[in-house]
Amino acid sequence: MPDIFTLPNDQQETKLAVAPHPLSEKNLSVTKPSALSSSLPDHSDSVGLFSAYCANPTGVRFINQEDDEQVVLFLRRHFITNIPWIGSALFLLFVPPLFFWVLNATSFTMFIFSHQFILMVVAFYYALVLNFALINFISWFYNVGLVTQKRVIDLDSTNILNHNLSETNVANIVDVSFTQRGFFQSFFNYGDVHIILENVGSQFVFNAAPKPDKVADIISDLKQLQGGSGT
Amino acid sequence: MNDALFFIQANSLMLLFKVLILILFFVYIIYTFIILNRVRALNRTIQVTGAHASVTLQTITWIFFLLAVSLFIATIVIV
Repeated sequence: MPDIFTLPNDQQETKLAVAPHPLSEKNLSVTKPSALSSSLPDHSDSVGLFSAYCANPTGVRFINQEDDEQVVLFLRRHFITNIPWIGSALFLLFVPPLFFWVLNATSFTMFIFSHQFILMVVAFYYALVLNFALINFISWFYNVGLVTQKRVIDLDSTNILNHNLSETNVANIVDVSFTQRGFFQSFFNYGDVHIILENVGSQFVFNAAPKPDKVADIISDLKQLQGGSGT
Repeated sequence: MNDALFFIQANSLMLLFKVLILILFFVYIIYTFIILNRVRALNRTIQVTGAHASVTLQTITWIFFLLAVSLFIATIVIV
């Protein structure tokens, strides 16, 4: 049976061509400004539970984010800054066994208390220790710095009762600098990034940010893209 | 007579300790509830959807709250 209609070969190829993926290299070069291409990686990283530095991140949204606003940089304190409270929590976990071992060794008995009561006291103690660890982790987890192509956002959760969200436009940035103090900051490559704003005396500080040199570089590039006099 | 007095005193003391630990657990429940609400508020401000991080943290705070309630009830029943 003869074919009624056949497409010419060149048209078939056109029809079979796959539409470009929204995150293809070509489209990324459109969304990512050229001046940032040296500072930002080509690929996107997903922000996880323990991520402290993510350039060009995916999987993070914030309040009042505009549709065309893209997060360029996601920052938390370097994870190494959690070591003191992790060490304290681990030590506190071993205090009750040590306490009861000492009691046994000295043959001292807490005859007045029932076993059930002692069990509940120990349970309360462990609940407190776990809570201590949870609060410290939450304070670290929600101490976030975000840089978009339009603004810089700093979420500070200093304690469990209050948090503070401040933001500024990239155009308001006057100067960006970073400091690394001491052995640990140099060794683990983290430090404080200071973002000086136009208003006298006001500044943003990303404390203990990983790779502070790159952070400062990215923010400076963004500042230049906004048409200001970046450093 | 002395034995009976000792028994009453010991029981009163135990009751006192039981009330004390119940009060502590009650304060702990309130505290975990404050943490739970704080995490909910912070999740409204910033949502880390990668690896379900925000949801995981909120679930953990729920577990802590329920654990505190369970311990409170357990203290009433056991001690």
